[in-house]
Amino acid sequence: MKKNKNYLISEKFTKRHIFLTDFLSALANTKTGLFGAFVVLLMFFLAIFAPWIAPYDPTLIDVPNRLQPPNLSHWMGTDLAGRDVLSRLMWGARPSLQVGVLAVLIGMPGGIVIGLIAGFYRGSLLETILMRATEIIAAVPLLIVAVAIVGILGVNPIDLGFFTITNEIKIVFVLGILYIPGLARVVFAVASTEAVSDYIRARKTQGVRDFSLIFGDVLPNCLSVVTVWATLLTAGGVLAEAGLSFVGLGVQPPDASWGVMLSEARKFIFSGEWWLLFFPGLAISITVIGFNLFGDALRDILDPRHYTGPRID
Amino acid sequence: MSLINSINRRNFLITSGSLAGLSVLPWMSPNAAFGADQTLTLALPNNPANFDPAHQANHDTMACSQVVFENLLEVDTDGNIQPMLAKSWSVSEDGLTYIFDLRDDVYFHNGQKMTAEDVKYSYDTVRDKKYKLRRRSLWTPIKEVVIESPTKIRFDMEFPYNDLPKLMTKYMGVWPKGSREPGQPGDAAGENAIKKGPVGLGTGPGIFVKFVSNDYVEFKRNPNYWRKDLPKWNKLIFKVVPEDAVRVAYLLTNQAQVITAPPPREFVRLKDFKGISGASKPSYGFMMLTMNLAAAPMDDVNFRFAVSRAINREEIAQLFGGVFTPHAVFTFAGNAPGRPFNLKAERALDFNLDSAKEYLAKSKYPNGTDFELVIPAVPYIVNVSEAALLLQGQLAKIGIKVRIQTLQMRSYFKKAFGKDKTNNMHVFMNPPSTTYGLAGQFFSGRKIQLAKNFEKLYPETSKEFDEATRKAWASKTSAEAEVHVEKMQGLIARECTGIAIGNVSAANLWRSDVKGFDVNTCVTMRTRNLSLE
Amino acid sequence: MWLILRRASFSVFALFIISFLLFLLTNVVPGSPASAVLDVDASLEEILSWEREHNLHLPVTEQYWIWLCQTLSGDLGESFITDRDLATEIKDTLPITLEWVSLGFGLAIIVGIPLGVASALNPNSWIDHIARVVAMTGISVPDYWIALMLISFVSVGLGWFPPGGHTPLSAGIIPHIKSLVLPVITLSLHYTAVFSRYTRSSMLDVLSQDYIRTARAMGLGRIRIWIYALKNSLPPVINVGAMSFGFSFGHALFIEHVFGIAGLSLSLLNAINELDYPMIQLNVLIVTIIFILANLSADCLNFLINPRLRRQT
Repeated sequence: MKKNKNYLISEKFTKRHIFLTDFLSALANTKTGLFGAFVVLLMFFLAIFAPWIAPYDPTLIDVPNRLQPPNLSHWMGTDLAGRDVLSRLMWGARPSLQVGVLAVLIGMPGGIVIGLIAGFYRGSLLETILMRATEIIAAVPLLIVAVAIVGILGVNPIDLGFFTITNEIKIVFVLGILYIPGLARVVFAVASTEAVSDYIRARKTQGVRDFSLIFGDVLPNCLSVVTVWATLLTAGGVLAEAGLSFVGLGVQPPDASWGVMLSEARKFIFSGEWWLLFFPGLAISITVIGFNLFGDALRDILDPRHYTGPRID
Repeated sequence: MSLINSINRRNFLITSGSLAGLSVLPWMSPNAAFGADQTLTLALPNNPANFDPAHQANHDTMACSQVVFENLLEVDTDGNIQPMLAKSWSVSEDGLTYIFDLRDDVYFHNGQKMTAEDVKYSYDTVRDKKYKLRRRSLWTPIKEVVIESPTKIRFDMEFPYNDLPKLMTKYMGVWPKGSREPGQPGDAAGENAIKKGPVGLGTGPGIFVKFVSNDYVEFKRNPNYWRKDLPKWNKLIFKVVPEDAVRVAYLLTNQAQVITAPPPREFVRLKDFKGISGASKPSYGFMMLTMNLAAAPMDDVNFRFAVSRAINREEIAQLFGGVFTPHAVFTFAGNAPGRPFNLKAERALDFNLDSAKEYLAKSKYPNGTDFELVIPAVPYIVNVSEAALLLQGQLAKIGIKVRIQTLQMRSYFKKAFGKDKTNNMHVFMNPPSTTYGLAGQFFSGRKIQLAKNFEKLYPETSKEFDEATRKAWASKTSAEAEVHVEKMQGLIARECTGIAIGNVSAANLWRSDVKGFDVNTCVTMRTRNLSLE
Repeated sequence: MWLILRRASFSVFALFIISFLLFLLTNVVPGSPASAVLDVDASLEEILSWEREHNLHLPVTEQYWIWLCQTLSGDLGESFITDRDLATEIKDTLPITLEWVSLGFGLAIIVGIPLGVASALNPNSWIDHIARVVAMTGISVPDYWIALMLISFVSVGLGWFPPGGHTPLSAGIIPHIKSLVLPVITLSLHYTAVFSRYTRSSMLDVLSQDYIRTARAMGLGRIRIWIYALKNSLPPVINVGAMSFGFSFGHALFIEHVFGIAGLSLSLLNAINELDYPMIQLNVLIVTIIFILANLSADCLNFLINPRLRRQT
């Protein structure tokens, strides 16, 4: 959507220029994409407006009514301390989405910049250094390292005086850094192709500085892949946060998070309180499915090379 | 056209093959008795940190060290003192001399015969700072151990200490002479053998075989056990299963024949289930809040009273369905002889919301404040996390906000009993002694003193407390001791230096074809008499 | 050939860097590990002497060097906490994890790849829809949730499989297999989805290439074409497979946690809970080594399958 000042490149630009209306209609054509978008919006809505729309206080303890199956006053039942499961579910969207989105936001600057610079200067020493460095980070299995680092740092908030590093912040940073290689590689692929394309060469001969070329022209063209990748990484982040909370390294009980709710439900898997296990797991699944479907739909729309049409046979 | 068919045929073959495979599965039922070769499996929630009888912190995992090590006397499952390696014993009028007549037919697992030398070595090494044993301070009242003959030994005490026989089972054992010295030949593999893998070093019914951390411990039958017809099992396995529900599942699928610390709801439901037996007994342990008396806000007496009076212990007891008896003083449930119960103290500390609000108003925090509470992540005897949640809700009613932090065992110990001394909520298990629970927390000579800073902050109360403790230890009858222990309870209640929530009961569930299992009022599972029919 | 060697040497280099970073991290943690190990009443001299024993008074680089020499010479050291030989712990737990993860992975390959192929060859048919639903569910639904549901319904409900634990081979082959069935199924659900998705998209990409169309136009039989297409679409799948094998240890952590299998991944979690820093470090390094080996073997495999790569070097 950048305004082009130079008519020579405008044609190339508009070919990849997706107008919002085209985009929305393309999205509406895919049922799954629409469902995904709906889920994403719903989860963000819940996360943001939970304090206002949750029927009960998620920390309200009500022992006489504990472990009730879903009924009229508690649509998803109550948990071991009598807290309303539905309210906890709504509030639980917050840490999951926070971690998912923030981790991606933290990884994006690094990943994009590295990918752009490495792609633009492909073949140079700079590129080798940058890409090798990201390969080192990528050489470790993500979940294991995330678990290990968060575990080593401990689950206690680290007090730096003016600022407390809570557990969530630790997770967000660790995941964000671990996301950089993936983003960098994806951006690198696009940037390196763009860097040798005609219009960039033309602009270079016109004397435009590299910096504005990279961030002015190549970057917007990478945005589509970045968006797709970011959506998929958010899905991964939601899963990672839930998983870390489940093993006790993320959000700590008694705060609400879907992973924590699942871990609290473990005591009741044989005694018949199915709703404690079912709803949080369903929430995680639907959210992740939603993000994944949305990301897939985005990819289908934005990347003309990704062919999913009928077989030519 | 044919291609579509071929795909469908391929898929069809795959699906039908797997369906055929799946149909075989139900015939492979897992419920055949695991004890076919007289192997008994018991499930524990915690991982044994070591097997040293004088270095145990956890009363569930004591079941492991008690398979290997024994002592002069033991406490039976109802809390009564019985002879063990000593066939008879006596104590002098003034309580300062104990004489034990040892059995003549006891052999260690390495073949060595047990004599008074081994007993002396054991009691000398536990009191020696060099060996850094956790339970050392429980045995320092012994002034000297004197061998009178290979089967007769005398303990000279510094002061009367009637707890001595009651502590032997949980906090001590008899090991061979010289076995704690580094570089031992034979079965003992270095000075840590007793802690890591005491092969050949005990006199008990089971010989240590193997320990896979966080998985299981294995023992095999001692063929030369001095109790001639025991044990009846060939192999004994303790499986480590931290999750409550999975432990129950193990019982139901016969992966384990006996389990401990069953979740209360499952216990109530399953103890009358077909094929399963369950029982509980009141124990001497309690659930309590240990506070950091030197740090805000718990350094304020009125605040402490406010907290204690705001806790609705009856409501907490509802969580546990019969295996918990609420109390505001450190006492025990059941009809234990000489059960101390200072009613006045109880009334001063028990639930009374109005009084709690009054105390809060008098304190430094009339508008409420917050404090941190750490709880262990793995249940110990019972799971305190639900009780902690309730407590959080109850204190919130008067404006006190509790921040609960759940930590794994090691981090928990570090935070709760280390430098930070964060307020914590836990279960403190005791031997069948009426003084142990209180002395363990507040007596000035104790290493495992939980409420540190007590002497420093309340020196007069501490002195009176020590005096009352010594008098209780010198008492000749339980009725006499009762008087002194009630005084101790009253002293704690005076400044509310300890908050009790209630008594926990020991509860177990086991498969009905296991014979000889009796719930131990001291919680630790007794395996000696078990057999499968 | 040289390509492989270059990648291998780079991986070794990456390993050194990662191990150093981990080492650094464990030293950043406030509070000496001594306080976790020794009794809470340990005096200052006791703490200092313990630290001296474990080289904690030396500068970090020197500590790292000592550790490196020790490890390379085979002495993996002892855990701070349990005083047990780390090498034994690894020896006890690694084979268990490798076994069931490989089985799960194998199952995923056997089911996932054919599913992906069938899906690609029959777009929008019923099998395609089922495959895509399975794929989407498999990558989105948290594996620990599936594990918990499997335990509660299949294990205790139906009584077919033990609810956890790992029965070693020595106790009989049938009990051994039975104890592995549920975790293997849980892991393979996720990876079947991954393989199915990648195979499908890779195959679709290949099938839309011009050379396929040409070959078909020239009259080459359908099945022959599919076989060629499959061979050409395998390389990205193999790459993804290798990366996934490394990542699977992360999933294995959750699954072992739920089923209580005393494998390598669970020992990482236990080490974290017990603040056993040497074990955490060693554990992560071993998983990283496995990851790197998997990537290298994927490269070799690709090399063998795809003659074009051979010519590139």
